[in-house]
Amino acid sequence: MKDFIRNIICIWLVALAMLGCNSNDCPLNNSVRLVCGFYDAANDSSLIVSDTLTIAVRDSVILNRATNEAMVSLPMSYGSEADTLVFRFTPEGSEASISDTLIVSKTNEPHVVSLECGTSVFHSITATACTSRTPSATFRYAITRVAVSQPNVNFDGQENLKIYFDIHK
Amino acid sequence: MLMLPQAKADLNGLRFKMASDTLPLVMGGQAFFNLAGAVLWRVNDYGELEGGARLNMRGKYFPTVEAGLGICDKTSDETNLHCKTTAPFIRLGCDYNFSRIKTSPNRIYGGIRIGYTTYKYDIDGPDLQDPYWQGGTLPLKQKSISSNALWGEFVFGLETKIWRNFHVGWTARYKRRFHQKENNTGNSYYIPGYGKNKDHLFTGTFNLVFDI
Repeated sequence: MKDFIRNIICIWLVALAMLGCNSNDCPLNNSVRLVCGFYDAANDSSLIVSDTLTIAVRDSVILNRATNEAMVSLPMSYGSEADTLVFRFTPEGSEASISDTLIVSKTNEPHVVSLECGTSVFHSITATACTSRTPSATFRYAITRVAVSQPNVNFDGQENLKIYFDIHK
Repeated sequence: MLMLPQAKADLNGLRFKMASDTLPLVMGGQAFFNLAGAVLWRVNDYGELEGGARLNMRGKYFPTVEAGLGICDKTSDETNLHCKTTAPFIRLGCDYNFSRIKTSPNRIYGGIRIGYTTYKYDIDGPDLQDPYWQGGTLPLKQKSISSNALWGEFVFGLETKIWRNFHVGWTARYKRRFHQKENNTGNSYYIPGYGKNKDHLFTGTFNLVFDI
């Protein structure tokens, strides 16, 4: 009987010590980004924009001199109800540039990944608007409209916006 | 009379089987309290104040109900995030006594449980600082987030009599979460009655048991 009780207590203490071990399984993909795909408005097919593209917000650049992109992924603000993104296109071999503006209205929801792994902010896109411009021989690409393909901006990494371009042929 | 060892073992087995078959359907019941849950609550930021009762059916089967209050008040040292909840839970299941002598007060048993809880929790922490858009912050303070969870458990346990109607015993448990109501703000650190919020985990209990 005494041995039995001693065994019970010993095994339970070992189990308790094992339960004390801890590991953090934080997700590797924990960045929240607005994913924008580029499309040709004429035929709804994916488009590679050959101009050098810079995207700015307020007084900060969030994408600097990207070339030959078919999509971009951008950070969103935590505190604003709408982000104003200025897309600046610089044609190859040119010093001149031209800008289109995209406004994305959205919610800001704090998200706790876990107590150990920290926080992120998820968004839900509520509306979009953009300037409209006619392309020219110098500036061949012009944003013409925007469609929401997936309003929830989170860890999924799915395409959120389809940005349609008119292209000068 | 000489008896071969195998024949002797068979005869003993038959005696035990006959003895257990002739036992009454209901041989009483037991009430128990999980001492480990209360200790873990004091030393580990979360734990359970938990008790239960079970029926002894022919010394073999022990239909069991366990219920209690799951408590968590945890602040992460790394992130300063804080999660708090206090909510009831219930588990239903059955144990099987593997001891050959079904009337013995020493028991080795295995069993299953199904557990459920519905609860509310608070999450708060430092304001979220925007790393790209200067000056942007978002407060993090969510109260009474509603959730519920369903899970299953495999139980292995030992139990022995210590004095009169009192027994002590422990159980080791493998738990698997079947369902959890998700929330955009984030899931709770702890699920009452289940433990730390993971897909599956191992836990244990240390019970003080009283024969009714």
